This record gives sequence, C-alpha cells and structure tokens, in this order.
Amino acid sequence: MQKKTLGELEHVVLLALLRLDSNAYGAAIRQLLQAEIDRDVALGALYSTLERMEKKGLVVSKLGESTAQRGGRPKRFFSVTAGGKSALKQAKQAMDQMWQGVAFKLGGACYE
Amino acid sequence: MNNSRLTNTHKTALPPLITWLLSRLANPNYRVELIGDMEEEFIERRHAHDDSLGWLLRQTFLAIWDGQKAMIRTTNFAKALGVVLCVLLIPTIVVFVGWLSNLKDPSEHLWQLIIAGEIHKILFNAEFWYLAWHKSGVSHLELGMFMHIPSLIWGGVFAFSAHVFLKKVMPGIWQYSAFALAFFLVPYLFGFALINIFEPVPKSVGPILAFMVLAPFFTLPTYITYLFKGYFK
Repeated sequence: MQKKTLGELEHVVLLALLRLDSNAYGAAIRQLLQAEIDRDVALGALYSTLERMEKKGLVVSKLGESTAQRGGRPKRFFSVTAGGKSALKQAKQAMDQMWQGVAFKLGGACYE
Repeated sequence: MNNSRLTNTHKTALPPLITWLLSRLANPNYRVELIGDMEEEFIERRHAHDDSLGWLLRQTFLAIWDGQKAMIRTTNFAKALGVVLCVLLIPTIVVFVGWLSNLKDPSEHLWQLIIAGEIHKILFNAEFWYLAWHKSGVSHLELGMFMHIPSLIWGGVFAFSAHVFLKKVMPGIWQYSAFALAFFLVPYLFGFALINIFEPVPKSVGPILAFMVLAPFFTLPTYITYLFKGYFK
C-alpha cells in the first residue's frame, strides 16, 4: 500500500475525529481543536481539509438528519478509514523516531 | 460530499445577508453543512456573550474566500475564461486588421502610436473605434487581409506544440492556459521590441504589426479546441 503522508492540520484533524468518535462534525471538530491545542481553524478551511482528506481516502463522511436547531441544515459526520489510521500510525512512528535522542530545555522545562 | 440542492425552510438565526452570501459564494460541495455549523456556533457564542458577530463575519469572509478559491481551480471556470478571452480578442483583432488595412489619414497621435507599435494603446483610443466602426473597418473586410504567412506558421507551431505538450506532459488546465498565453504574448512582445529597438521605416512596420495581432489570432481557435477536447470535466 502506498504511504500517505499527512500535513500538520490533517494530522490533528484525524486525531480529533478519533477523539470525537461518532460525534465528529464541523463545529465539534473546530471547537475541539480550539479547546485542546488553541488552534482557531476557520470552518471553511476545515471543510476544505476534510474534503481533501476524503478524496485521499483518509476519512469518509455521511449526512445526518436535519434539525431545527441549525435552521434545518443537517450535520455531516466524519470518520477515519483504515487508510487514515494507517497514515496516523506512520506519522506517529516517524515522529517517535525523530524524537529519539532529542532533549532540550525551554522555559525551565525539559523536553525529550 | 455534494448536497447543494438541499433547501432550507426553517427559521435561521444568522443575519439574512450572511446566509445569502454563504449560500451563493461558499463551496457548493459542503455549503449547507457549513452554514449549519456556523449557525450552531454563532448561537452558542451569542448565549455566552462572546464577540459572536465579529466571529461570524470572519468565518463568513474565510468561507467565501475558500469557496472562491475552489471555484477558480475548477475546469469550468478556466473554460469560461478561455471563451471570454476569445469572444473579446477575435472580434477586436478582426476590427483592428480591417481598420489597419484600410487606413486613410489618421490623426498624428494615432499615427505615432501605429509606428511605435503600441497596439495596446490604440485599442483604448476613441478615435480608433470611431474610424474602425464607421469609416474603414468592419465594412471593408476581406479574407485576404488575414493571409499572413508568418502568422499562419506561428499558429501551426502552436498547434503542434500544444499537441505534444498535452500528450507528453499532461498538464493541468491552468498550466495549459499559461502555455497558450505565452504563445499569444510572444509575437506581440517580439514585434513591439523589434519596432522599438530598430525603429524601422513606417512601410516596414505594417508586416510587424500584422504578425503581432494575427499570430495570436491563429493560435486562439487551437487553444479553445484543445481546452474543450482535452479537459472534459
């Protein structure tokens, strides 16, 4: 299987989808990224990234039911495919590998 | 990821102008869900007394920006732009050739522009359009005026190069358009440079001007043909 490299936003979005599980839709993903890593992603950019990832086979999406809360507009729920999980695993392995033997101090804290 | 045909019959909390803009200018592949998400978060922020309107305006601007970027990347947009280019350029060149071939007593200003090879300035000259339309342009056109061997050869060179380029490189539609644009511009820039460097006598300027406008003229039909033949989607 061809290796699929992940961009930084793709990486964190995939992790957000896994954490949100069955409730992974635009607004929830955006809010999670903001709350957890203080990343203020625009909804347009987020959907654009998700669309690209869907084309790459990293995620799949399905439309939910319409609700009156959102002006009758449905949510689109995303989930990670096996290919997406494999890409995440490779990205993690690459990061772990590169972190080996690295240690530095920043602001009094030690990172390794 | 395409549900742009979904309709909205419920009441919305978003300002009507924002909804109207997003429903027309955001990416059609996901605009319905995007507006729904935006509305949901807008309501939450309003209840939390955050800067909900500022947030909404920023999100709207970015969603429209993203939608327009996606639209520009589409094949249909490039095709539409190609058609507009042809619709503007072909009649303009025809009128210019008709006018230049029947040129009689132009004003000093227009004459100076001609012998300096500044066609781009002539096209923005009111006198040119008046003369071309009423006196010596469209009503005096003949096929022979367009028979210019170097320009026909240039058109042939473009047709061959475009064929090879599309077959070997398989470029994107914008790469192909940039390639074609180079073929439109090179004769014009070459002629303009030639006139301005060597300052030929007025009699010799005519053939150079002909090459400057007729070479792009003969590349346009090939460009459009390959644009529609080579890029179906």
